[in-house]
Amino acid sequence: MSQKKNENDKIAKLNADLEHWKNEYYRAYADMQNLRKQVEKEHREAIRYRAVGFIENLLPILDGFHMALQAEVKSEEMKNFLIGFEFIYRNLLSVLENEGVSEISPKVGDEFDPSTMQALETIYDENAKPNKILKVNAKGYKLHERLIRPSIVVVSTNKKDEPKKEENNSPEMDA
Amino acid sequence: MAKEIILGIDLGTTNSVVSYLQADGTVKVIPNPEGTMTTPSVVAFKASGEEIVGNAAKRQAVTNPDTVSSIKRKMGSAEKVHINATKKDYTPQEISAKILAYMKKYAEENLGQKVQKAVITVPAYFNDAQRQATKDAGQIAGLDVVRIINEPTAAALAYGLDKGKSEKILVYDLGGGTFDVSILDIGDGTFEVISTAGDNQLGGDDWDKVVADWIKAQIKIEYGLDINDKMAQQRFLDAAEKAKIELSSSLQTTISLPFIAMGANGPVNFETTLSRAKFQDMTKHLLARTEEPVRRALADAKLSPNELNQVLLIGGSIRMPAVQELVKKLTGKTPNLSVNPDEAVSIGAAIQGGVVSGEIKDVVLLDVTPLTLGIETLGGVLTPLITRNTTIPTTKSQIFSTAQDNQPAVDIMVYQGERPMAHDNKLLGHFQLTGIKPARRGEPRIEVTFSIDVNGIVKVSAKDLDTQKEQEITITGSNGLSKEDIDRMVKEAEENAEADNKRKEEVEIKNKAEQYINSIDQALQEKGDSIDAAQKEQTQKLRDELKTALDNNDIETLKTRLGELEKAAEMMAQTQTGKGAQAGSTSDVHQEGHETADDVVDADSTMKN
Repeated sequence: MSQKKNENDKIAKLNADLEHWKNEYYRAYADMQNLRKQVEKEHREAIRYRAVGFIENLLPILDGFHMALQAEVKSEEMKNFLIGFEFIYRNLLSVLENEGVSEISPKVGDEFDPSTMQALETIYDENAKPNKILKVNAKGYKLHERLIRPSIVVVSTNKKDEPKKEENNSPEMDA
Repeated sequence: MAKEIILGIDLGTTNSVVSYLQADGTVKVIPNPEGTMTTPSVVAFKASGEEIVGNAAKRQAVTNPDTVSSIKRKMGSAEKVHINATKKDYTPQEISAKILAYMKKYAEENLGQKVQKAVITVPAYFNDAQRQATKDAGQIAGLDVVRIINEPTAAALAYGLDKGKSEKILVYDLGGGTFDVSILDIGDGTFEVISTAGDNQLGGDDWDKVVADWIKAQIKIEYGLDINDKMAQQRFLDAAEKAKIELSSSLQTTISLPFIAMGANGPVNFETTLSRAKFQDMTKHLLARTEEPVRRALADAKLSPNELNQVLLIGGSIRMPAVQELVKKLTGKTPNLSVNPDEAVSIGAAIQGGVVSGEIKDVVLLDVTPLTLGIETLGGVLTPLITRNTTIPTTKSQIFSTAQDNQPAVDIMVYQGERPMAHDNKLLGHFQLTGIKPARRGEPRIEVTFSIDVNGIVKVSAKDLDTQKEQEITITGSNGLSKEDIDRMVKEAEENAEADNKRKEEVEIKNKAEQYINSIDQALQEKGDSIDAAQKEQTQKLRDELKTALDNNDIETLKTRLGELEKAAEMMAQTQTGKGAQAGSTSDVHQEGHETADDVVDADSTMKN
């Protein structure tokens, strides 16, 4: 009797062990598969967004071009220079577009959208429609779906109360 | 079934970070939908009922009076925030909950699974009410807060300082908007905060403001212009931050602001250089404000600096060299900087999550092979099968072939070590695979398999894929090497790397030359008549030169002649019709050919049998 019981206990224990290791085995496989999927996903993202840092560094240069081209000039010679620079600027933009960069250039009168724009300040006008763009200070840029830098805009408000002052509104601070 | 994940959340005053412990025991920070690792602790409400959290909330802050930031400063107080848009009052924990819920959501999206639990960090000086409020915030966000831990404790965990040793450590945390110093007493898995001090109105942003003001003043000096428009201010701040970051790694930086304003003579273009020394001089009053709290924390803990075992620096601003120098001066310790200072607190929280769930204990610590394992191939070269630091258990196979025509057997010599020539390594064992059918060199396919089980036992088998004949050996002594032996072997390999590689390269060139000679001989013999005489003669001449160089051990000539011969052999192979593919594989110098025909199992001794 007791021998039989011992044997049964042993079988039960072995079965439990077997179950335990089978579980561990499948879990290790599952972990590996999940890990592989995650790594693949991250790898794709990393490739897709590999140029983020480089593009970020290019943005002030694009801004510079943009600002230069806004200038009003009187002499013909200067105008011709500007036309040349305009070409260079557009070529640069098209190179970036081919890499997946898109411009965010909202227009005056558009609705302010915080998902792609940074409000620099608000201007009060009792009769104005609120939350509209009054001025675009800088263009924003996206790489594929990801925002690299928001467009910087001035927004209308028809409320008198002063918006709460933020400690810091620099979009670069998150980086 | 996926394992339960416990998030580690650093719920900060200005920014928050979330991370989790992966199955292998390492921590990963989860990026937010905009791809950044830190998320601004900002919440905004709109009249439409929409709530905005994080970067977008921060960007619309000036347009919306219903934007709440730095809510952490109010945690635990009865003070409520009135939101006009919803006409409701919110408790600080309700606002914090919005941040936590947002992070929970993007963490779940990133992980592809639901998350219910979290460890959240709080400053060491938080009282019970503040801790309870933080816990409540988690609950409102749908998170079961399994632990609230102190930020410096989390930092210590991230640095792995919980390994039983009794230590006193100082944690210097200079973030974007707050500064904290804490002294911890660590012993046997327990963390006790002995003292805290700080300045909750001091952070990296203050450094930017000083530089921005300096830029503005420089423009006034140079152009007589007082620039006050908001866009220019923003550009000053951006340029200041960029300069600050660059001065952490270089001694000088250029601040360039084209078209910063319009003057009487057209656009104003401002450019200047800023040296690290100048930057440090203009911000020294800010740095000085961190000195007193460090001294106070030490005094409160009744410790002198030399009683500290470690100094940890966390918070993004500690990247400034002046901060590191100051801490070194105040404590006499070289600060530990090995963990990302922005992420350390969240990482520590995730580790704590693992301790709570028992997962840290459960982490299967897998061994790695301390040294490379391989077999000797033609010319005495060690061909590695399992390279050093491969996690075990593991199995690796590679196909080899014979070195001579009609070779009846191969000797498998198993070596362990890092030197490229087999004999410089430790011989673990050897065996013979016999009964190989008569064939030209390179034709038989012999699959050699190395397998290391969980106990470190190495099995090596060789299988003739044509006859399915197999032979194997089990090696138990491979882990008998002491740590010293292993270190010595690795060191020797490094010391001899140059000479060893030269020897290996010579052998490889000689092997290759021999292979070409054989393959040309074979081609000339079989298809010689179909090749035009001039080409045949030229090839024969090259072949003879190669043979002479090989016999004379003239490596330089071998190298130059090999290039020419490669071309010729390729042409010969192309002229062959029936045997085209075969000759192609033996003269192939690419990786594939390398693994089959070129790495020929050493067969000299077997040939004598």
